[in-house]
Amino acid sequence: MNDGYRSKLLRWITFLSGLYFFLEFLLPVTALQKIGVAPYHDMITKGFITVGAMSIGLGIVNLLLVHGTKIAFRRKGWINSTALLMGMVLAMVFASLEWRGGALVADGVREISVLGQFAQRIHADEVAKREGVPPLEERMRLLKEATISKLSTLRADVADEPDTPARRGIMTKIDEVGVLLQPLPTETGAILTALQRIATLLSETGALFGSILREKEQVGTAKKVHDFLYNGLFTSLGAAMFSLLSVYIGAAAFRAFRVRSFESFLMMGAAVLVMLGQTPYGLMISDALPHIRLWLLEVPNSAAFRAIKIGASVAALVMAFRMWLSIESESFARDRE
Amino acid sequence: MQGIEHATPGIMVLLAMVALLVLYHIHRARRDPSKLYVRRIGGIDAIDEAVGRSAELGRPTSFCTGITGVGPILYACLGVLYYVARKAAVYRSRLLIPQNAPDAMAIVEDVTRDAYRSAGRSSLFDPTTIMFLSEEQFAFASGYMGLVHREKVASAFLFGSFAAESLLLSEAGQQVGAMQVAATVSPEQVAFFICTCDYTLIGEELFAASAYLSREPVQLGSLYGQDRVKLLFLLIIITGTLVATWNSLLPGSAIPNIDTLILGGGAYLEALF
Amino acid sequence: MSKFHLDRRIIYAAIFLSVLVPLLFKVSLKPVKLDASERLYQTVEGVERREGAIALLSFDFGPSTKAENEPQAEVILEHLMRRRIPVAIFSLTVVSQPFLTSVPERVIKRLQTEIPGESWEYGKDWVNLGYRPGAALFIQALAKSDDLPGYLSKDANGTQLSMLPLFKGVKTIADVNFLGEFTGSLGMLDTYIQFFQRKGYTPIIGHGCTSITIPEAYIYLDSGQLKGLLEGVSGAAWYSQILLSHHSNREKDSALLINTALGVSQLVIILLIVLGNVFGLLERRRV
Repeated sequence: MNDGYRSKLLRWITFLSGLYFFLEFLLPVTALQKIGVAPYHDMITKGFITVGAMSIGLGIVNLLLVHGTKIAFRRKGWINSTALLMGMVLAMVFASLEWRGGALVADGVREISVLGQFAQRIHADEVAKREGVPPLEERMRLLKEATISKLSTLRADVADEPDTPARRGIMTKIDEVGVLLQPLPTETGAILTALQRIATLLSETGALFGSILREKEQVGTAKKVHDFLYNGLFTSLGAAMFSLLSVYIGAAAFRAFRVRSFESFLMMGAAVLVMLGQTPYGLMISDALPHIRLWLLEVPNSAAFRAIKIGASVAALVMAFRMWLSIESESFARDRE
Repeated sequence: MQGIEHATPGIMVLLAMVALLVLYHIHRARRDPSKLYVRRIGGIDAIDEAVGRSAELGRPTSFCTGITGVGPILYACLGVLYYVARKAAVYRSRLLIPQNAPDAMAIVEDVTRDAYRSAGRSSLFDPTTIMFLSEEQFAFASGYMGLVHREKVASAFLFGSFAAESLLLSEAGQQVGAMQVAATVSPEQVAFFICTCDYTLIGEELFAASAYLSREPVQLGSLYGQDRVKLLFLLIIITGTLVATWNSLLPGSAIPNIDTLILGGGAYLEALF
Repeated sequence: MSKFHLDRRIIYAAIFLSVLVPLLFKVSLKPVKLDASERLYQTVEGVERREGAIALLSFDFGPSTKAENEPQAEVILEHLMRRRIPVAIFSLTVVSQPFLTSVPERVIKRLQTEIPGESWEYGKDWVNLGYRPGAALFIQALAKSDDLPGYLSKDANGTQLSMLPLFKGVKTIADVNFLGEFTGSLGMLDTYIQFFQRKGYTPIIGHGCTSITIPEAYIYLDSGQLKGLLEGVSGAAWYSQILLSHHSNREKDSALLINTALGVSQLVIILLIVLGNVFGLLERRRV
């Protein structure tokens, strides 16, 4: 595929993708429903989000290229590059393991809650007298078999757990579900009442079982290492970097906040008034400071910010049009020279 | 004011006017770009000075697009990057481009390669100088600060979207004695850049810089179109203010407020479908 | 070097000590009354409590802005929980995930200590919806959805939302009677104001911002698109003060401490500005 076809294809994809969201905003929901797009909108949106998420792969490839080259050819700073790649791999491995642990917890909860959803569905279908569904007796029988089987397994799983309120709660609820299911009620009204109660109990049981699984996961190695890397290192380092701002602003305040003209005097005065107006010490100087601060923020500040925001938004809108119509790409086109 | 889910006829008319104004001026610029005047902005002339300084001192230049993702602001920065990269290629000066967004990085690499090619220095282009640091704001800032200190950059360009890390980035350049030119649409960060950088372009001057440097018809034309659109919005604001004032003085007035005109009428569209 | 030069390290030390000393000695002064925080308090106080309506809180902050945004999130969540308004919490940024559990758990623990016998159940009083990728696309789709629990599907623990009592009767965003957004990032608030709306419905939005974005947030407060604003940690401190005045048993939280330390550091910065100008003047006179 040569460059001409490639750029044409890219332009058409850009145009059609942009056209979809443009029309989706322009047209009312009824129009989208008539076209038949409305039921798929969620899926399309999630597709675009997924494509955006894939771009992290580009970053990883670049990191490997830049730092891998440094390590391979022992260039200046290769030890730092080694540390970076090792950190990246370590974080990816333990984040994956931690995610896997969370997924197992979710699976464990889902195996129970899906039974509760089944009970809810039977109840809803029976109340709505929906057609095309299996008879109530058959569905109740299936629900009973699956629930009793699952809850027996669950009872065995949590039997060895420490005696906590969650464990006791699970046992109580298992017993109560057992009472409701054995024997099955025969009268429809009683069945519906029992189904509602069973759905609630199964949902609560799932939540309690999830809390037990999560507690076990918390003490696992993967979670501990992940927490150390995230809370211990990443969170602390992020807060530390942000805190550097305070010392840098102090240095900038001394070095660069100089009054050289009437305008800069006005600016400095406004800055000092706003700062004093929001500290407890400002009130020691004058009660009027908070009101002056409020006026400065509501009147001149809002006016200036609105103007800048309108200007920047117009520029962004125009640029967005250019990107959508691929006029932008002409500025950097390979065949321009 | 009630919420809206989709465009109203008023919004459609406005969008059409915006598109027409921009497309008309782009067409005009393509016919004769010399007829479109863009005023001189001091910070733009400093770009040549900064790149030249790097070449004289034999130290690299850095071009940082901050936390800009793929979008209109990135494309505005790319116009300036193209110019800076071309200059750096001509002077055989090293250009470092640390990146925050992986998707933007691919576009940046393309543009830089094109710039080197147009200067006839394709062999000098080194893709490893476009380095992905981190998507996390402060990890990126930390990586940039380290890069600037290690490489002892002679000039630094900070063009794009910046948040709290702006002061960290510009202070790092200050500490190594780099000449710094900044441009951002984030008004909150302008104050920090003014204190720490040699030249600062404010707000839309970033968009104007791209057009000014390249003299490219599309960019010039859309700059003109933007200004006309702003005039249009200014007219709407003034008219709306006058009408709202009139209506508040004479409550029985039959003149609808501008926001009702623009945002109302959604029901007509729904009835059509 | 000029004799009117001040070593950077002295400046760094002055800032460091100005923050450290008040925190070490737990100095807590009464904060300044901030109108925007008052308005937000009245807004939350007036949020309607009805079947099938929830509050939605978005914690879009990370470790870096935690010092300002976390106290804001805590006070708003506490107020909603005191009023027994069911709350669903989510985030559009992946770094915020730990706060989606740590903040509610801390608030609940404090409330349960203050009001013995009362409890706040997960699934009934609050739900953690976890991190939701997609930012603007997600908010747009959320606003257009006619089945909110169906679109959101599960909570952070993998439980179907249809099984949770909190989401019973909730259908669309019109059933969200309060949206609280806490962030230090630019553009997040714009996204909510632009897209979190529906025909015949505009949300009641409260915002907690860092000090840097206060000027930008004020334009929305002025236009009425925001019903209240917590201006950095000072806003959280005043909100906390209001809660204290209404609930005498309430324990003082970190917002008041941090606000006091912040005030001291701001005084130091004002002093540095004055000193810098005086030194500059003396330097020019000397020359």
